[in-house]
Amino acid sequence: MTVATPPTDASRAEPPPNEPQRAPARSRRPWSSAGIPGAPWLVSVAGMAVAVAVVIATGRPDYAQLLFQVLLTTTFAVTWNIIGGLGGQHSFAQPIFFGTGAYFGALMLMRWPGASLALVMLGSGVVAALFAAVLTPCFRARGPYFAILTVAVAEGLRIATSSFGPGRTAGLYLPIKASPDDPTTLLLALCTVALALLTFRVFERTVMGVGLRMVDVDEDAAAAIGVPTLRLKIVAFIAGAPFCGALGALFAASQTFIDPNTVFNLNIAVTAILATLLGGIGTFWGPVIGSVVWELLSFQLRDWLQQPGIILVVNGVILLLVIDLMPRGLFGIGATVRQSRFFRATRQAGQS
Amino acid sequence: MSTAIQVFFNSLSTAAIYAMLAIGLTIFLGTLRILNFAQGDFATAGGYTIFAVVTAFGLSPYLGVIAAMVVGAALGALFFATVQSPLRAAPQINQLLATFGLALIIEGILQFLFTATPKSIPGSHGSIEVLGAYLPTASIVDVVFAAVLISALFLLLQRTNLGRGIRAVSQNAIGASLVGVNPRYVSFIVCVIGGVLSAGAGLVLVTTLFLTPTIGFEQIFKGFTVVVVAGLGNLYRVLIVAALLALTESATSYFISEGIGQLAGFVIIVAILLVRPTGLGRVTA
Amino acid sequence: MSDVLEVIDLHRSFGGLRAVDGVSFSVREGEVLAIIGPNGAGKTTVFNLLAGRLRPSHGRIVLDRANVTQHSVRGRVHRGVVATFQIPRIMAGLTVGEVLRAALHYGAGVRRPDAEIGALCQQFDLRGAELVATLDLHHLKILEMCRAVAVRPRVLLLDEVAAGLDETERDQIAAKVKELAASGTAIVVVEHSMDFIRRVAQRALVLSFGRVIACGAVEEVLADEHVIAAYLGRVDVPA
Repeated sequence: MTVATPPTDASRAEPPPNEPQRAPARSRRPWSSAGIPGAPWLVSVAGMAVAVAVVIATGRPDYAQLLFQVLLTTTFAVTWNIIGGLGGQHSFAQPIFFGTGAYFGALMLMRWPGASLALVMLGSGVVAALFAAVLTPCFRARGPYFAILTVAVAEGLRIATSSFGPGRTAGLYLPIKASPDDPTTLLLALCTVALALLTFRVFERTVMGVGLRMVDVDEDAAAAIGVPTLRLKIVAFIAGAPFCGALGALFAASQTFIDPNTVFNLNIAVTAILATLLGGIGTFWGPVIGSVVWELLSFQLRDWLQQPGIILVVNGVILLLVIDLMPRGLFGIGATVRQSRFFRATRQAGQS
Repeated sequence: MSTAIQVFFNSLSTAAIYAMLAIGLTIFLGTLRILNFAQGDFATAGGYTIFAVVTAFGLSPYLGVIAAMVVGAALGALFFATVQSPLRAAPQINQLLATFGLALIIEGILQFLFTATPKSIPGSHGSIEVLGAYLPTASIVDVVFAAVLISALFLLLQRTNLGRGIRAVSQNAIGASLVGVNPRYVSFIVCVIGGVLSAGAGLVLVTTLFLTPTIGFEQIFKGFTVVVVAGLGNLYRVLIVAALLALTESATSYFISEGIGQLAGFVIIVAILLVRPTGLGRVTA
Repeated sequence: MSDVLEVIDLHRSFGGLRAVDGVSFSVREGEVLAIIGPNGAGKTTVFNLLAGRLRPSHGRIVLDRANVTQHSVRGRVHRGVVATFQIPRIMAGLTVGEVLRAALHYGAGVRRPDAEIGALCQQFDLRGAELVATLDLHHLKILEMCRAVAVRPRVLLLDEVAAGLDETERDQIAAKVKELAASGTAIVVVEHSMDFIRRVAQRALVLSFGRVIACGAVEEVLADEHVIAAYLGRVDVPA
């Protein structure tokens, strides 16, 4: 009588004792969009278009002003996110582009009052991009020195324009060509933001985004892999400039006057960075959400508090609270706790 | 010759404030690795304190200075609690922005209490004639005060255990903790010292310039220029560079125009960083 | 088999210290050369000079008859000299696939890298979707090698690739190194582990105080009395 040997069940075989147990592969980072390509961009632009339509329908100039401000801040934040969020280079150069665009636009409109606003914006964008190209030697400096350098250029430009620029400290006076409650103005702003978001998306989803992130983490390691670190930083820097410049021209057209303290104001950079941090640095939705939340908050605060001093204080307090308590911003709040502890530990290990 | 002396006299107060701001920045950057954008606002707060003491209570400005230094110490402690401590391991951009936040808060409080109208202490703008040029009396006070404060700091750093602890942490925080230095305690003290020093700079602000809530913030860039040019390793070098910058600005303002004088600092910092991207001195203390 | 890499009379000082003082050697296709020596002998400096992180004060580095001495790190990567980091840099937030994509795109100019990434992952037993931040040291080192190999280098420079690994992991890395050499890549390893060297290298170059004191087949070199003296510090053996 033969005893049937039970078939060896290969699937229940134990792994050889020496093979290290592999942790299950973690899925990709949260919030990456599988699915419809371009979905986030379409959603964001559609959302803003709806907002524009609603605001125009209500016909209230203060809402229009607020929406205009939101669109401005979003553009600053999104363009900063390319160089600062993806690339980790903390540039304070947004006011430089904005102010240059504003002055160029203002001068153009004063000279040719009938000119098409879209064309003037285009011209301002080009000028801003050219200026950004001129500023690229700044990238010889790294880390905090780069930040200081951009701050120095921004402040220097402000002082120089006050002392020698057209209009000196008083600024340039022009007739309002495009007030915010004019639908065309909001549409022009919307187009600019949409293009800025598209640009960010292109950077984020292509190998450029990977390269920039590597530059952010460790520039020398990135170079060793073959990443053209300087070229990438420069491209990311210049790519954001035209949108800020174009909006500068639009801003100039919407005001009775522009002066150096308003357009070359460092607060533009601070707000852009803050909004991005608030929403989630390096993400697509971060600057958008952050800008909306921040501007709405500021608007409400100005309404409630009235006193300029207290408003500053509250701004500062909010800034501190966001930075101290929400380092990954609203959008990354889930990932914050888990990854940051590990990240900090490995960073310290890598540095010792 | 007397023009040269006049230019020199004009530069004294500015040199004092640049020196105090720059040394404060160097301490923050060297020991805590933080770029403190709020440093200038500490000075503004100090200046307003002196102003308040003098105009509201009618007391001597010297008492005002002591009050200012107390305020400075408090601000330093506040800095430690809101910026330094929570953000020790955070990315640099967070720390940078946090100092901005603190700067806004200080400016806001000052604007609320004193409004944005420029203020100054009456009677502090006299001058005496020395060697054929006009020496502002305020400059004498400023320089003497700065010298005293900075000397006190140097003594602290060189001669006391606390000072040695600070220098140790600025070179190697982990190593320092291994030999018994408490980095958190040292960080706290550094914040307080930085606050006291900058508030002292407020004396210069209130005697030579008109006080506005944002004036300190505007002066901070000069402090950055000095730090970038002098590097972090040597405090004596910071003093020399501060004096040189003030002299350059004074000369440019005198011979060309005020506007260019103000720009001189920016041109220098941009030029230097472009040629030597890590500044002229050593990068770390 | 011709010389792929030729190093001629390399010199490099740091202030008064002569870290590399007249070092010459060559490596052939498919050969594994180990650079060994006591601490402070100049191994890391030679490595950095080869990788392009440092420039020599004197001497030449020749790759396939082309003088690459003044080339930058990136320039060398494009020429085919790729170095790994001793402590692999953790590219937090990125996945294995993304690191390889960047290496292939920027280092080797590959525009549609998906197939290559798949092949590389298979060859090195990595998973493309895995976050780099979750890899252990062993797999980080494998990833380092993988991304270096991705650009199909002529010369691969490995800096203490076996350090910090256990017996099994070293075996796996050693196997990988031999596999790569067999496919024609010239490999230079800087190492401390004699065991590892015996397993992967054909020749060894011994440095002491910046100079070459022995160069030849691994077993011969390790038995050389001057080499032993250098490691143990005996000074009475005539040079």
